[in-house]
Amino acid sequence: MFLGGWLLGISTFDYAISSPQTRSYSKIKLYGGSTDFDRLHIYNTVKVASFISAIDPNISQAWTPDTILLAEFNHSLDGGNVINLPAALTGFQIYRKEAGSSTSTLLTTVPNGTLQYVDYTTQAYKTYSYEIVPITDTEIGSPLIPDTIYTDYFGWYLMDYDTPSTVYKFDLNIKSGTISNETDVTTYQNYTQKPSVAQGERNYIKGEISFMAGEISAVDGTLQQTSDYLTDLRTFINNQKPKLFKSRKGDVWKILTYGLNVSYTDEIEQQPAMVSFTFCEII
Amino acid sequence: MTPNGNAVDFASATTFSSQVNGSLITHYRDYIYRIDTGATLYDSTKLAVSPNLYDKDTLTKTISGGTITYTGSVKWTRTLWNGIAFATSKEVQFYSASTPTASLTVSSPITSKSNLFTTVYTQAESVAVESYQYFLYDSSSVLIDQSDVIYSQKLTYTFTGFLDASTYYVRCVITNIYGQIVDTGLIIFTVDYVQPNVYFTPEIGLNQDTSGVTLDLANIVQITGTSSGTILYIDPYLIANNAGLNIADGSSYVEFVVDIPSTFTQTVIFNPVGFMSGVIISYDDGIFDVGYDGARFYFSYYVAATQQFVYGIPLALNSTPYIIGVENDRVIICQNNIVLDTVLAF
Repeated sequence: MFLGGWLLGISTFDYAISSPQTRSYSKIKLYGGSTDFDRLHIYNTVKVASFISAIDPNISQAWTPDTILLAEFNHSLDGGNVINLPAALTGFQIYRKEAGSSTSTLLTTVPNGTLQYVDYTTQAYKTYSYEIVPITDTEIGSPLIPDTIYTDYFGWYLMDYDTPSTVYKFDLNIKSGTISNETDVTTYQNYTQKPSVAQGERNYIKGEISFMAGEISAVDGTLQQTSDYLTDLRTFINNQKPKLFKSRKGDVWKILTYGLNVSYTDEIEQQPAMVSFTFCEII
Repeated sequence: MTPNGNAVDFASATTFSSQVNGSLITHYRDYIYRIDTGATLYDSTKLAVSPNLYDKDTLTKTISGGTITYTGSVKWTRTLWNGIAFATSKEVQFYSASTPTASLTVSSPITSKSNLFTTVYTQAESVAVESYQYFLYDSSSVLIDQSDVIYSQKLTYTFTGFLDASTYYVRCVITNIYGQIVDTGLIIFTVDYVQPNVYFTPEIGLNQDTSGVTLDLANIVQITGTSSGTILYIDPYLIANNAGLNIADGSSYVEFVVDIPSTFTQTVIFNPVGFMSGVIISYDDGIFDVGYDGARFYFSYYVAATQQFVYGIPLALNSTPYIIGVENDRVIICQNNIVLDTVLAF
């Protein structure tokens, strides 16, 4: 009807036609009448007829990036990818497991509606798997399992321990120096053949790291070292808040930082600066 | 001198020991009495030490189980003779209390990633719990997790992160206010929980600039349908370990509230098990329907408040599963990987 009018260049109707393809919908119903259903799958893309005809009714289908509903009627009317939860979803527990470990560790619980979670506490050069477990007020659902990930990042990273919104990465001209292991050992000279030695519980690391700090330009990949950057870094280093510090070797420490020292290279026009700060491991 | 400050259970044989300082010891006397009344509980009387003891030796004497039945705070003294003179020790306080017991029962298999463990503590004189600590071991009895020392009488702790199809051991060690320690020993349990049959893989990524591992939670959705009328689950159905849904009559339905965009594809697998006629799929309560009128599949929609029908070719239904694919402007009916009909809206 409409196609004929279009081919003629004029519409055969004197009113606007709202056709099905221009409309969105908010609900879908399956009706019965001596009918068995095995699956309902809705995609937010248009497939071709060959895609539909190739579907094997005997094989379970997977949730794909363009899926917006997949109901398999497996003793429930679940149509999302959170299943086995009869009550309303309230949030997610996020677990992490290191390859070879016997248990996973609960990292956090985030409320429903959280779009993204970032785990900053990984060690470098480890393989981790995660589980995202949907929860209600009283129940735990089946876990959603992303692919495993290998943390092959390179550099030293410094961030706020509690809310790591800003992360400083240091990987140029790094000099980590000696990281000392501070312990509490007292030797008593008793006028005996060998002294008495007492060791306390103290055991932490302390050190200083120097590097060429700056931000890598997203435009040309060059190092940008503005005075604002150094000012922000000095404020961050001396803000007296606990920080997470990750070494290139894969260590992860909770530390306090202080004393940002800056040494400019005056022979070069841009005066690139080497900076250093002291850090001390804390509880 | 021991015991000293801790608790002993006189129901069992109890050893009293002290180090000898000074000269030769020939005799001793142990004397135990109640603190509250001063009443004597035990008096060994002056007995010979044989062989005699000397400086830095330890004098150890045992009181048979059941000799003292009193429970409560007591004191003891030890008097030593060297053949010429005697000396009596300072009074040493300790507690007479029955040995406590602890029972940790785990309902195995645990069907979750986490479990609240509870230990039942029993002590005849109701000596209160001071603290406890839980330990978790893997199947090889290697310690893999433990609680802090918890100063409470709750005796509960939750371990999380169990792996499916795994074996663990749990153990609780309790200390009461008299210093008595009771250990449940290793209690075995297995873990077996349901794995999802609809797999959705959330996106994961590593940010080299921050070292953060990013988990994308945006596409995780919970959609739960509702039913009206009579529905039944058929198990097994087409897919092994995956039930099907029977909607018994034409007035019953299952509804999903979900935002379907203007460009979409929907597939439904169904199987007629009797005479079928009427709407099969309805979008927004009849704004757009797909049905079978007893002979043909049709497509109905509203244009300017008028319901329009477009019919396909006559198809006699059989019991082999059909797939109805619905796209924006067409309905595609398939069976055995063959397109039987395509119904176009225009």
